[in-house]
Amino acid sequence: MILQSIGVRRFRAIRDRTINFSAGLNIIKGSDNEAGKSSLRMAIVKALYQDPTTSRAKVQGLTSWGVEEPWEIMLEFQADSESYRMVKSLKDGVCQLTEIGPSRVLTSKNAIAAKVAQITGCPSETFFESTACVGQEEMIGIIPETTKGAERHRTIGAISKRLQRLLTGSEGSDVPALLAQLYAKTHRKEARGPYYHSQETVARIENLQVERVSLQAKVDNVMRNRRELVGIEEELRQIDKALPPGEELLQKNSRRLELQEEIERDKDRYRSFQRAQAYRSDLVRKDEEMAELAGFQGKHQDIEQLKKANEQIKNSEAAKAGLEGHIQTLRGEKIAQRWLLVTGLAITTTAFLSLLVTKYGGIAAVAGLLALGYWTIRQRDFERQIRSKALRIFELEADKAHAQDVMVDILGSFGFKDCDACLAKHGVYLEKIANREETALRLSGILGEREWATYERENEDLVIRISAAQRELDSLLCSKLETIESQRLEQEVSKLQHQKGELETNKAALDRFFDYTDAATDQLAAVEEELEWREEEKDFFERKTRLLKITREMLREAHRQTLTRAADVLNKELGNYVSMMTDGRYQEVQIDEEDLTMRTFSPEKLDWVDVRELSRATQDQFYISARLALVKLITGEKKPPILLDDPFVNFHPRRLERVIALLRQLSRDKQILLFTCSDVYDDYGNVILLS
Amino acid sequence: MIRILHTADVHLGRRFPSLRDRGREYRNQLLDTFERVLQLAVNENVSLVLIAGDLFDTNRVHGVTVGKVLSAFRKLEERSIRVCILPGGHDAFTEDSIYRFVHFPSNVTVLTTERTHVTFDDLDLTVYGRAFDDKLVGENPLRSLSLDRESGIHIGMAHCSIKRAGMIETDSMVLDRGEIASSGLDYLALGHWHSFQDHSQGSTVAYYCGSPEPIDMDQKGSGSVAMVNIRAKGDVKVDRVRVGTKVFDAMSIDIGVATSVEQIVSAIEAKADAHLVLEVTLEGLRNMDCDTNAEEIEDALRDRFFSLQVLDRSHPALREIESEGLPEETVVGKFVKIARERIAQADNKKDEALYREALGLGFALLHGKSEIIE
Repeated sequence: MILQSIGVRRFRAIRDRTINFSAGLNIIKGSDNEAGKSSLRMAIVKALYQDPTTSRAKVQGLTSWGVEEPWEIMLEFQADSESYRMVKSLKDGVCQLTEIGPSRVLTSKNAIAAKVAQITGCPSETFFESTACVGQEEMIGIIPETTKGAERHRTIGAISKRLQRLLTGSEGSDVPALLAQLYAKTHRKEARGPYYHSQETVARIENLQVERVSLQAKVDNVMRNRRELVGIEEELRQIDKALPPGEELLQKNSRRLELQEEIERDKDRYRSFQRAQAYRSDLVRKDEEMAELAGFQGKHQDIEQLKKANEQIKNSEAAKAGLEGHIQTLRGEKIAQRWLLVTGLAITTTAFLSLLVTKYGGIAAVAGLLALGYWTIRQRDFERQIRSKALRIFELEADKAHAQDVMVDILGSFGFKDCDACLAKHGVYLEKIANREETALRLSGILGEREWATYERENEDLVIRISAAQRELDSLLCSKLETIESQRLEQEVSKLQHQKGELETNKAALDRFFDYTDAATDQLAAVEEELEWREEEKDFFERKTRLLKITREMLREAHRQTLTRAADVLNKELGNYVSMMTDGRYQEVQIDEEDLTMRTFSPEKLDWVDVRELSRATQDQFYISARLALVKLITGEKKPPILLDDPFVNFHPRRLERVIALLRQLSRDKQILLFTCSDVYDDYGNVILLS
Repeated sequence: MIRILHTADVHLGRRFPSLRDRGREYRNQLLDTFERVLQLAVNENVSLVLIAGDLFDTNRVHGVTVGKVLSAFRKLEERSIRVCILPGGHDAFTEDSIYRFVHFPSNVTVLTTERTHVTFDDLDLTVYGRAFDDKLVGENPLRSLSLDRESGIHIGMAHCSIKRAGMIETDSMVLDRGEIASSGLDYLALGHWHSFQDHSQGSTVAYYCGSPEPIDMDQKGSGSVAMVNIRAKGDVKVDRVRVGTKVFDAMSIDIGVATSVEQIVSAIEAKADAHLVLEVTLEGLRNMDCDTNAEEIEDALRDRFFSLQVLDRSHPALREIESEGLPEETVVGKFVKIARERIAQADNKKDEALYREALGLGFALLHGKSEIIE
């Protein structure tokens, strides 16, 4: 691309000026800072890129002071063997690019922008400024001597950073810093990026999940118990339906049996009552009968005495008879003992006679004497006994007489003469007493300790009771159950009652559980609710993290590819430029494709040295060389004009010569516009005075 | 005159994850509003309260919520106000139904699959209803309806959808308009749809009362109950009574026409209301100059609403990124080229969208907008 001319009206310091350019090196010279060099440079850029329809104050403010109408610029240039005229007018918003040859006119600002980008290889004003324009501020030599410490450290490496910035293709971005920032946001919590938020959210989710498990278990338990309670209540309802009929039937049957027993009991009672009544009647009759024998009443002693006397008499008589018998016997025995006397006498006599013969005859005499002695003794004994017995008989006679007297007295009191008759009567009396007592005992056995009146009162309505019970019994006959049936029903009822008891116990336990449980579905709902939106949040941050990672990955790859290509180009081209700039002192350059740091072969050290170790001025030379080489790389075959805004103002004259040589070489291939106040370039290019 | 308060779809215990940290507060609000509805019944001296389904959002409700409902019903019992509850789709009369477990006061009748009607002799009125269990999807809730001829007034309750052409209901019973007309009911209290709507047919007055508080975003007609006045047979008047405290609303903003974030913020701020739940969707193509951050907008305006959710569904305006104009030997040019390759090679729409977003993000970062990731 070759700029041919520019017509500038009412633009900053330029009121109305048309300037023609030539190919190659153009020196736009202004004697002072008010000459309009910067305005012309800016006008060229605005002519190519500015949208004239903008209302931005900054653009409006480029109009020269003191004029009414805004600026207008017309730029003519050649590119790709075609001639173009660009008109940008802020006055009426005209934006027009005319392809002069075929007379094609573009008026759409987007189409014009695309065409300019295609021609220049720079898609935007910013890009053009950062690529094709080199200003004073870019040169590292501007760093003041006084810069020290961290600030100076920051400026070291500025060449490679600035070269990287150039290669970024946009203004104001530091790709390594961006990459570091993206890495931090996606890998380090302290960067408080999506990674941090994602981790925080995950941690919160984990806590919530633990809490949920615990709450869920409680709620599940509640639901389980609830289900169980509902089941129990239903079972209880079923039992409450089934149980009463069975219980009622059993009750009726039981009542029936009870009634039967009751009736039997009452009947027994009634029978007893009837017996009691009979006994009572009997007693009354007996009492009447006994009234006739009232004389014996309370006379037991007398009767005993009578009996005693009677017995005594009888005993006396019996004893007397016995004694008399004994006496007879004794007498008989006494008489019978005569043999002993005879015998004794005989023996004795004989014995005494024998003594005459023998001495041993005395022995027989002794025997005989003994016999006689025995007989005597026995006779005396018999006499004594007889006397004793006779005496006893006498006594007995006396006793008998006494007893007879007593008897007569007693009999007389009873009005009897005959003892047997009296006693017989008394016996009757006793029998009647006994009968009465027996009857009274029987009656008493029935009455117990109750009085007859009380007893009678208690039992007077027995008949009514029995009738009533019988009626009730009759009504219950339909509920009659056979024994087996009753047993079976009892078992069933018992089973149901047992079941009911168990169920009620379980129900009570569950009721207590529900009274005391702290499980609340509200809490669980809150936890689950938070879990849901935290999961969404987590997904959001994870996506964002992934987004940043992808962006970083692509950015890193783009950066790597760009730097690799740039390093490759610089490795090939920079050596020539540097050799020219340093008058052959440094000829070889190595570029690190990681960060574009430069090393050169030092002839003094005979070794490769980092360019940062060289002087500031030499670093400037390396930088400008690399800068110009990279413009070629970036813009490729497009070759936009290079606008240099006096970047060599601080160069030493000798170095300046080498720069000029480089510029002249470069200008063979592309148009260079050098804006300067200096005269030093006058012999080396097309000088355009702006004064 | 018989006065009846008809409500439905209270959804006590419902979760609101979209309201985030205000979900619990809103859940409590549903309960507060329900208590106010019952207080309204007391104040208006109604004879009967009808709850046509979904009183609870789920059968798994226990604790404070149930306790408060019982307490509120007891207050009605003290005033001899009867309550009829019909289980709905959410509190269906299944084996685990809450209605099998909770012992309501004596003034409350729950219609079940076994008990399908209740008569109030003093009111000369019978209420009919067929409780939903999950086996009755698609069924007619008034099927086998047999009116008690002894009763003067016939009130039906149904938790169902009204049949719509081309729609198949998958979660509720369905009622035909003709079936409403031929039901013989004086009033049909409907539940399931959350907006107040009149579906009267023939001589049967039928209304959805709507939910007392909105439950979802798309329910503009909720927030009310129906007050039904029955003077005589055939003379039924229904009034809508507002009880809700919150409004749910949604808006879309095309950020393609917005020139700045401030413009978007202003548009949202114009709707600021402490009782509003607002969902804002950012749509359209996002200009490079317009650095919208949904989270930042939410944070800035959150306190002006009950709940504000800003969803960024916009896409970067990639027309600004024309790789033809970007020199390939620059990082920007190479980045765009690599991104476009990845977009073309993406396996699915999600990844494709992600790469598009990465393209926009990287481009913006390379143009100095690092504040995007701050």
